[in-house]
Amino acid sequence: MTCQPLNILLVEDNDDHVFLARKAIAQEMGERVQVFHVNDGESAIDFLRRRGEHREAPRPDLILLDLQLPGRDGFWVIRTIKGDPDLQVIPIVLFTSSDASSDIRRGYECGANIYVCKPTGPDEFADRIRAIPAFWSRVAHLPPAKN
Amino acid sequence: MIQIEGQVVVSVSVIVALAWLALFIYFVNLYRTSWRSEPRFAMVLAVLMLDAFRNLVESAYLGVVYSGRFRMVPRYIDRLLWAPQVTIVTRLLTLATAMVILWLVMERGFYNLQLREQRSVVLEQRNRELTALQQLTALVSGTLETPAVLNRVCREIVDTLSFRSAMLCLIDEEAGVIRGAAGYGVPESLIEETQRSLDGPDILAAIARTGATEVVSGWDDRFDRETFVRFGHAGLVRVFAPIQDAQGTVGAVEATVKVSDTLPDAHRLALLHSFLGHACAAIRNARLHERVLTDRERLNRLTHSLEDKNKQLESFVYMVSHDLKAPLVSIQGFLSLLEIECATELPEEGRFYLNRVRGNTEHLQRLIQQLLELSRVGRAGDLRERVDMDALAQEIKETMEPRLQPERITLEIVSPLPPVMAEPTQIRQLIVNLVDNSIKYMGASLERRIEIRSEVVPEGVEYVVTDTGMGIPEEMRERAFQMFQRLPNASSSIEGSGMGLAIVRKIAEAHGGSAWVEANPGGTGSAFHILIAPAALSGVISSGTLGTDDESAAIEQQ
Repeated sequence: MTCQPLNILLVEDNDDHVFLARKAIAQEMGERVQVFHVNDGESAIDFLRRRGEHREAPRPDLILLDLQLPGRDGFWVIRTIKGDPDLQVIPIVLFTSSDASSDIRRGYECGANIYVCKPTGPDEFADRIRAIPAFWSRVAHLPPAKN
Repeated sequence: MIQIEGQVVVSVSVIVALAWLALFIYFVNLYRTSWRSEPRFAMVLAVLMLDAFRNLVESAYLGVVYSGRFRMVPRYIDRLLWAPQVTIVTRLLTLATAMVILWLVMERGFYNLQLREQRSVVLEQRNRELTALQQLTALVSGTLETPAVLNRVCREIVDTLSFRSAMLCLIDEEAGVIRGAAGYGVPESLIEETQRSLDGPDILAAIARTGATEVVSGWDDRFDRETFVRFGHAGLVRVFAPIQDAQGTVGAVEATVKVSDTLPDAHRLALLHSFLGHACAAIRNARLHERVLTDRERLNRLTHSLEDKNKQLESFVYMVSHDLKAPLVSIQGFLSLLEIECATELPEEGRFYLNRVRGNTEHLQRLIQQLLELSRVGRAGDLRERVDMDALAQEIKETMEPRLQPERITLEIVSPLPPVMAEPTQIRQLIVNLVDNSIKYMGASLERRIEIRSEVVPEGVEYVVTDTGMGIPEEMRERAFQMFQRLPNASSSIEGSGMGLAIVRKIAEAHGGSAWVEANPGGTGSAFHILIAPAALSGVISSGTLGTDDESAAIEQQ
């Protein structure tokens, strides 16, 4: 299967994680994947709705969302996106350090498409983050754009 | 012919008289021996005895009369016998005997009967009073709030023991006074006003001190004059009685009747006394109950605040370990980058340092992971389901094989392990931690075996993990389940967070069970026991597999 170019919106407040994620994705996918980054949930919604400073923002193909965010949390972001007819088709990957079963369950209940835990083991982080865009671009079919 | 007839008649009379004499003697003898034992029998005997005597006299008289008629005795005797005096005397004697018999019957029988009837009337009355006493004692004992008990005591003194009014005073040892606490048919103001120093001259204080009952009609020097006048005590007979039992006096009661009423006799006072004895016990009981209630309330509050604290602690640990995870992810990520991209540029020393950082980061990761797991035991909701322990143990064995094999340890599962209602991930964690612990502390033992088995005990089911490792000294066994405890002889080469067994115990307790360790009865090493209560087994164990069920079935069969 060919690789589709991907626009990823990364919603993450930890700059180190952003750096590591960008690096790993760039190593794996090179130029075909563009990663956009916002710090918190409200900015994520602004980005998706092209409001304020994000007027020129592209529509992402995939959202990588952390649960623990300053202000509104990740659950709120999922519910907002899934409640918006225009945005609800965009796949959401919850990428978070929590592996509590209550969080996992709630994540899926809110409409997350995949729940991935940030691994704490050696070398695991890069491996796991690489797998995400690889899967979405190589294995999965992304929702087609409206006519 | 006539001669012969006369002789026969006289002989018969003599024989009859002798027979009556014999009977009389027999009755006398019988009466002598038995009059004490059975009054009714003695009375009958006395009647028979007297009757025999009367017949004896009559027979003897007739015998002599006939012998006179047949000229068998000298004439003067015959004349004497026919003398009117003798006839009258014998008749009078017979009459007297009959009267004695009548008297006996009346005295011993009739009057006795009357007496018995009277007695039974008294007994019945006593019985009624006792029943009333018993009932009101039961009523009083059945009440557990002190004010209710006090009011009830006063009311029953009036209703059942027929006093006009009753006031109950209690001793307050701390304040050194006896004061009014309840009353019935008594003005509230009197109850409120009544407060006397225990050392004072007042009669209530005296009663409380001495424990003697006193009946006072009208004025007594020990009364308070003003109260006496204001509450119109002049026309009253007042009974002052202590409320006391074997343990001492708790107060006193003042019960009154009017001077014109039937005054309380000794019997009624005794009833009052007896009732107050029961009332004393009831008051103590109620006080005890109140104390238990307040204690329980305090305990409840304490429990709640502890539970609260525990929850706070758990969520704190959860938050902290979560927040610790984020930097750990970064450290691990950058370490990887450092190794991949810069390792070649580092000198030998630098690479060694990097390795140490790597090792410590991994240890930190395990600590955080365990901390999270520990906090999660209390946080997990009720996600319990039936867990097939045989399958679980088998799966764990397969997963841990890579660690068992290099150590040449055999893991044996003694099937069947009863299934359990549990949170699957937690019960898995529990077994994994125990096996992991056994592997870590196997040491250099020659026999290298871990066994998972189960025992059905009256309290539920025990899952037991035994090993042939270095064992735990007895004084360390309880501490082993506390957080961050590691065996003193555990070399630093043994990896561990010191939380494995703490997690085991917490999981067991979250499932209504308990965890402890004993020495391996089969030799060296330890036996870790996990008791799961039947509540967590209900529905998964068919009845009859538990020992208690067998016992109850056996009892039923008997």
